[in-house]
Amino acid sequence: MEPLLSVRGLTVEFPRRRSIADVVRGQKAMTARAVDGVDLDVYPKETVGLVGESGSGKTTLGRAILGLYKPSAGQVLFGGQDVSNGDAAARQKLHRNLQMVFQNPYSSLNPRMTVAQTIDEALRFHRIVPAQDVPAEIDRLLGLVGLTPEMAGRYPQALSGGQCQRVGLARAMSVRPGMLVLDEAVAALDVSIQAQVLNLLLDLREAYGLSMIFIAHELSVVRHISHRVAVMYLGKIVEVGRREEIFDRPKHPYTQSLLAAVPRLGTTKRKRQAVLQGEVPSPYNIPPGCHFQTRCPRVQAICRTAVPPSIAVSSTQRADCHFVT
Amino acid sequence: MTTTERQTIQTSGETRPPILEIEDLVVEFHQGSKVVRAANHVSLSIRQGETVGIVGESGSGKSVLCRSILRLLPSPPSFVKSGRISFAGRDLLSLPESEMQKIRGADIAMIFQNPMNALNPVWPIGDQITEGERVHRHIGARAARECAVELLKRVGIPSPEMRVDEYPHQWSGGMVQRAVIAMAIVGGPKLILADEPTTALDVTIQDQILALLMDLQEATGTTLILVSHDMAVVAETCDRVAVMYAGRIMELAPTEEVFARPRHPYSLGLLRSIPRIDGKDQRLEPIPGQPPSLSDLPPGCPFMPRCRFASSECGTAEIVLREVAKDHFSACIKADDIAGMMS
Repeated sequence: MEPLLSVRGLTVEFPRRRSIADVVRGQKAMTARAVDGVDLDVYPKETVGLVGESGSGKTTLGRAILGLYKPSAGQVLFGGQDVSNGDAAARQKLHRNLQMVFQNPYSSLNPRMTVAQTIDEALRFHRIVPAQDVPAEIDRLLGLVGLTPEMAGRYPQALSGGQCQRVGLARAMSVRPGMLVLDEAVAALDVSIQAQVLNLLLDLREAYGLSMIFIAHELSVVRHISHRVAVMYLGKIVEVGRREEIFDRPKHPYTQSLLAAVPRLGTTKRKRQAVLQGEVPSPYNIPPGCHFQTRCPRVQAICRTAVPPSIAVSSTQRADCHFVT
Repeated sequence: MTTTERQTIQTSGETRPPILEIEDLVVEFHQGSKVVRAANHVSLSIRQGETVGIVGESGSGKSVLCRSILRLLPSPPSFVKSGRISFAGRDLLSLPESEMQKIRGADIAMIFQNPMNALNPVWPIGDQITEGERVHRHIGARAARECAVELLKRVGIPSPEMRVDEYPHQWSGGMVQRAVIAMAIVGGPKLILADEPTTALDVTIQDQILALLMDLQEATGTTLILVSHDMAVVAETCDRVAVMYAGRIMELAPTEEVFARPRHPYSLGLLRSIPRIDGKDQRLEPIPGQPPSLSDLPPGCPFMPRCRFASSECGTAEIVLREVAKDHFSACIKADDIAGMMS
């Protein structure tokens, strides 16, 4: 089967502005490499979870896929076509098929537009239905995400966080996309509301055969919704595999540590020994060799000099580590 | 506290004396003509050396409860309508502000959710940590600096003597939270209130901070109240758990009891709506609807409109925490019907 989305060697860099003092001192411009040569495929009807801590580059990767950041190297192919070359027409076409849902349900809606206006804009711009059918289509979309037609006239401030997220989802669904990128889409919601939205996502996925990239830091949520999972650390995908492979048989030391650090229900008070020491290095100052070498419990001399190869553990699982067993 | 005292406390187990007793606390916020009841007849007794978790969703009153203990809520708009908070035998709500000032930081310390907002951005971290010591105990600048270095070492900051003069923006979120913890333990408090101390942190850093808090607690025997929306964090760190909803404690029991044998429909609902990292694959069962408005609470049980066990009595019955099993309290009149629903 052909992948719907292919990311090839994608690199996104953010240069830091030099101050006048830096220029006078002749200091070189610093560049943060937020995404570093990432390869990723997403197949039709598949949900790929993208996990990692802050600064791992998961949000940047998601946004670069949608063309919201310009990559400094690499390609994004959607349906076999290169959509990352900055061509506006290609990007507009991409956005009919690929939509994004953002983390903060309040700030991702325009506070001065009603729910109906928010959805209406996308419908008219992409000419999804004839103009006279737009009101009916808005009602249909609201029903799709579990909101009542009375909500159409409301402003975001009159909605709860869960309702705002449903509006964001209705807006994304309005163009009838084949794929959604969801960036921490349930992170801001309380657990009882989070469960409602997760169930809604599963229903929509089933009904419309959607592909999804589900970006989240919450591992239990990612496990719940994903078919495959990619683990990011400091701009690289360090391990990718089927959900069971990542959660039951992780091979990369970072994935193993991350899973060990997650608090679990069903345990009782225990003496804790922190799994990982130290913190993620700055993206302006990425260590040579393996990115994880500064915190890795299994670090050896080679890790400090050589970039680890991507080792195939199975036909579906790969880990970038010198010492994958 | 002397060593012998601490030993007696540890060996006597459950008979440890209460250090904090909250009785029938009602806290309201007045917003124009609206009255928002944020804490609604809360009673909670906490024993010395214990770790008690308070869980609940946004607006359930967990932070208000914490801040009421330290009297940190501005009045107006907040008012304590009724209730009593006694700490080590003293009635906190009737103390003059000058006495309360002495208790804050020295006897009761607080750790806030967002570490970056908890520190002053234009003041060196070391000076902030020892401000309390310099004010309360009048120690000199050099002694204060040594004290700050010692504390930073204790909370696991590498090369503290080099970093003590740095500013918060030079540190990461996890390191600043360690500094905030150093600030909390400087006065040797008997009680630490930690309000979502790891919510803003990544999971591997959260793991480090929880390990640090538990180590410090074991070393000093201090009492800890841990407020969190994350049930798993509470499950791994606390002896007892209070589940709050709409300003009330709905369930209060030893941690294992609450998670394995919940006796309130709200606790049960929460547990069933969380995806498990190691659980079976099953569809989540969300709690339908939304929490009630705190300015317009329904009569009777506030969870009734969302509860699948509700009947007409729930709208009229008085809501009180009653003991439904040993040390296990539930505010549900149908607590007996809920027993055994979790398995």
